[in-house]
Amino acid sequence: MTSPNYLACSLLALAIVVPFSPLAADDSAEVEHWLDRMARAVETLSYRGTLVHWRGDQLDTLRIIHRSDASGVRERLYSLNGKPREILRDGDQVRSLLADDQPVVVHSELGSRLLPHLPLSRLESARDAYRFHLRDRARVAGLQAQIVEILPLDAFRYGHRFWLEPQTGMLLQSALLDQSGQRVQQLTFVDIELGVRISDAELEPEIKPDVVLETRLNQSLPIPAKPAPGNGNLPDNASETGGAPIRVPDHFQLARRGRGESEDGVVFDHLLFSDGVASFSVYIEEATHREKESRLESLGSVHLYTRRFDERQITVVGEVPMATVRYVGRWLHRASVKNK
Amino acid sequence: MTDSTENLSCLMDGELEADGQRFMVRRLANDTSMTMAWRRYHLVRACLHQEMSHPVCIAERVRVAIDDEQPMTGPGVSRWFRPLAGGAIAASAALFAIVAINSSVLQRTQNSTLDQPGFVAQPSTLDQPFARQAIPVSFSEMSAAERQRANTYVLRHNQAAGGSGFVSYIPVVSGAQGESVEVESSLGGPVGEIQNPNENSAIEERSQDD
Repeated sequence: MTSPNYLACSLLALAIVVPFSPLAADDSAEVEHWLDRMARAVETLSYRGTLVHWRGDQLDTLRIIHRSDASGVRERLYSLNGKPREILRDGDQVRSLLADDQPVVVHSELGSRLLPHLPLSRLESARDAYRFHLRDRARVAGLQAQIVEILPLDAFRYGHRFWLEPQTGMLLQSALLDQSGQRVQQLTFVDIELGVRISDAELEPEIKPDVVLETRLNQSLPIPAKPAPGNGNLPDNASETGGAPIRVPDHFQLARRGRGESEDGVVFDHLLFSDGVASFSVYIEEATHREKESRLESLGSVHLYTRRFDERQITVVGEVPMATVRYVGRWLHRASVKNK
Repeated sequence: MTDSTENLSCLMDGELEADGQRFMVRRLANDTSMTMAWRRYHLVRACLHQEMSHPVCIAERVRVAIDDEQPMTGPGVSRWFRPLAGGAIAASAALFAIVAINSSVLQRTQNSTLDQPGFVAQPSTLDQPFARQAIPVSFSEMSAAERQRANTYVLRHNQAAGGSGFVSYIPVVSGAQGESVEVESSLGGPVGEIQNPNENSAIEERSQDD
């Protein structure tokens, strides 16, 4: 082939390939900007509204009241149908008040909430794990909304479609997507008031329990400077999982290590893994009963895997597909068998 | 169209005033038939907009599959035969869907595609338990104690991760009770493959090697 022909063929090949390459259709920088605005708006604005949540054959209506001022953030999220269920947030404390359940309070003394303030650029793995798209505008709850879309590239994480109010970045609607882009669940504001004054009375719960169970996240531990890609090894004390590292799906990295105390006074170790968008936790604690079993459970889009390893119980939990917690759980099982 | 169904349509389209919206949401929360209607409307709209995959849309999906088939233009295939062939393809596609669903529910066999390449290059003795078939032994909802325990872990995780604010707590506040699927391995070993990662389920395994 002569060199002009070769050049022409190369240019033609480039012209064909480039428009179809994933990078060509990616809006990651703009989407990252929108996500940052969304995280700040959801946390720092004061608002009240009614939400409709759809998942499978379940439809729920919920009410959210969120106040952010000089004294901090207070929030009340409660159900309008079915049995009374409430979540109350007050600074670094969250309370769940659910009918028929023991009320639970979780105190966090970790200082900062991690993900809303963590730019995706600091977790480059997100760019390898997802495709980011800026879509057209639409109308939600009587307001214009910019649609941003995050599509996962494998079955180990969910995708998201967010409808965001352009001026504030406030979330008006969100859909959780599977790997093929199909909706798993959707949350929509049917009415929302932004920038309103919220009284203390609005943030008071209807359920007033006498006794609550308290659990604490009270110690942040150092994490290794460079976790191995796709392998969030325990950094300096591998014996915490029976002498074996934890292997996680590609693009998840160890983002936080900590220690806490359960409602029974049992100390647990906590590892938080994130790919920049999705996250899951691994809890390692002393087993408190002798029942020999492992469990895989779902709470809506949240999945949990629990298994007993010798005298320890390990729980993997996060809003990730079942495949993800099962992957980590299976690795832990293999590692424990190898060590015997 | 009655007033209530018309108002429901308006609510979907965001055309109601704030007071009207609040009134309709209250009615939605207390009126089962209206809740069902709301769900039907969303399904219809989703199908019209081709937004989601759902059994309701299966006819449309079969039609699309038929449209995508190469036309049979070879010798011996007459023009009248084409619709018949299309019907046969549709029937076989539907049959395949039913067989696939039954297989996934009843067998839950090992599917290695979710393991990443290179994770385990060759099967070994260590992998034997994973290749065994898991047998579902009971189906039930998550118990109150299980749900309480799960909620606590979710709250802890959300507190550590931050997530997307109130959105992270929706699984705790929503009324969904996860279905439990108890699975017992025939020869020990961990749980069998979960075919649908989005399924609401709790799967319990008991194994001899614990």
